[in-house]
Amino acid sequence: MPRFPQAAPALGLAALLAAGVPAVAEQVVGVGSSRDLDAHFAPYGTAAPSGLSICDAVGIGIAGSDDHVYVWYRDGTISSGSTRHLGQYRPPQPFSLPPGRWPSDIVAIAITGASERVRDRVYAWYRDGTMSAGTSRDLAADIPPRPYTLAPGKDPLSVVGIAIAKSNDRVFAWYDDGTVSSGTSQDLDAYTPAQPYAAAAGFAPRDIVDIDIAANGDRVYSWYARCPLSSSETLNVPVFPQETGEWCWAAVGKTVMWHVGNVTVAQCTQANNRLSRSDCCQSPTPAACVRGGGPEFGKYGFSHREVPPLSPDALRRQLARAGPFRGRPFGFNWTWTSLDAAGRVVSTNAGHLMVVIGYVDTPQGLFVEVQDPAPPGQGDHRFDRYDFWRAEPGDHVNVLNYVDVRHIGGK
Amino acid sequence: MSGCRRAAAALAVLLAAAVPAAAQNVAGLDLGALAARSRGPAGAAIATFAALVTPANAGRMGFADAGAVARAELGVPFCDFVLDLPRLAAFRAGTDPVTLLRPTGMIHWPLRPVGGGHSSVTLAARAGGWEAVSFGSPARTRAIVTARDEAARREEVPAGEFFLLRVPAWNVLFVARLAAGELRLTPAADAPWRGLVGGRTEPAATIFARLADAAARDPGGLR
Repeated sequence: MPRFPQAAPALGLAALLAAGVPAVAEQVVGVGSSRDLDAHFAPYGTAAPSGLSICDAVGIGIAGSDDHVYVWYRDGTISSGSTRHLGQYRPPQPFSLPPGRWPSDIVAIAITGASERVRDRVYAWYRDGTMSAGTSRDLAADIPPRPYTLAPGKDPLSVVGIAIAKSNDRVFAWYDDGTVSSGTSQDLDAYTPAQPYAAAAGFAPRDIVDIDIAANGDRVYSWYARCPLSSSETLNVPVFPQETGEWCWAAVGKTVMWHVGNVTVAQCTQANNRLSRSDCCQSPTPAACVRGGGPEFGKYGFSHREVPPLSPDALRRQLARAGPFRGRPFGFNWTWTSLDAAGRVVSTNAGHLMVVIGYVDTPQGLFVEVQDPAPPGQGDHRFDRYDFWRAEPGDHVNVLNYVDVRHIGGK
Repeated sequence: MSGCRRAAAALAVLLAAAVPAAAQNVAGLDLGALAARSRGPAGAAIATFAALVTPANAGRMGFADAGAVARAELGVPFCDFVLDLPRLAAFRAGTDPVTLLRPTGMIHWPLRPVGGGHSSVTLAARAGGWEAVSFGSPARTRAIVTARDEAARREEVPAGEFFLLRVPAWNVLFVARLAAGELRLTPAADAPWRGLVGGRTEPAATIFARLADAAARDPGGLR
């Protein structure tokens, strides 16, 4: 049992299934096998404690000792209950994370079975490519963060669920491309490579909130939700200032690749590769290296899409942790404007790249949270009103966005 | 009507009811009047700002804590001008540098947070008045406020005589002032790739003459 006080008795899965809880169409749990997630039972309704939604969940685990379901939320609390009533046994209480990590950095949580030396140990995997183990309320109480690897071509944000088989402690990882691998807590495809799975009927892999495996017959429980876009989102993205007056593109590339793939690509390395040079890491930076450009994600094992200006909802979907992209920052440009001879506003051939890391809906409208690699050597942070972010005719216009950046070049 | 013309029209409307002209009149804009007319909206925008700042982002937004936003005070604002590279490239000896400046219709209000730090609210001119469009930018604010205040102290003039001149294509910021009709610029930070030294004030004509050729040869791009 995770070290989390409880008063209510455990409720068996059969009893849970028999309980007459009305189904909630958009928040369900399916029961099946690792490759057919509703093989045993068609999806049925599930509900978070009052004031919370399963869309707020960042991880779900099933204790091997008694099949209690534990849910960790983005507000830093944890509840326990049954598969249907996620707060049935214990209302939300605070939990702690390893230093530097936010609840929204959790990509999945799973709980071991009784065969583990420490029963019901809680494992948490983070966006930064590390995992820890501990108790339900102290996620690193036993094992501080250490690296883990994914199946080839996957990044942490492509994980939709991780579960631990209670019979043998094998770790299963499901991805948003519809594949599942198995391995250990630190090598997620050590045993079987990624292979296709079927999500519960009516739902897609991207709808999965998290998955864990019960002790009862190693049945796989997967929770789903079609979440409305939240009213705010802030991703835990550090500022990487541009290291010269013209390397905004390299700073943005470094920032996004670091966040998405936990890969550090130095700005001067990007300059060397873009400019076909080998001296851009010298100090002082050679003048010939100080040039404008654009991020070259493909050179470093990343895919991306370049798209025109995003609508408010498209912007929210990129960033929402519970959205289809599971919280990916994206690069955007501002093309500077000028006046032509007739006094009309025209776009120039010069611009600047920055990173969107969040948004907030307010009564005054949508605000976009921006990490700016300028001023050089410092970087900056601000909120732009959406219309201003899109364009300020006398100053700038957004033309291009680098979205859905994914690390596909892992092991 | 083009966007810039709309901004200019909005500025004209805002200025029509402005306070009497102050000493600094740049490219047809009375800086003192713009400051006076935008003070109210800037103060009102602090409440909006407070809704954006959380314990998690307060430090990055320039505040000691989230509660410090509501207690922040308005500093002395910067009217916003830009210098487009084609105009800089066309600079010749004898050209009045002021004629190259273009007002953007924005004004930056530094905030003085209780307990130190820097942050800002940026307002843009709209047909209905000034609207707050951007919040934060502590690093930029610190740079321009520091450069401006040092220049003001050195030249023994009020901080309100200065405005902001950006060369966005080059990520260069100047605090600027008209001194007896001469435009003088102080880079807010070192820009060695442009031969600029932060805090060193020079006549704009001198700087523009030095940079015009680079502007003419500028290849553009994202920087």
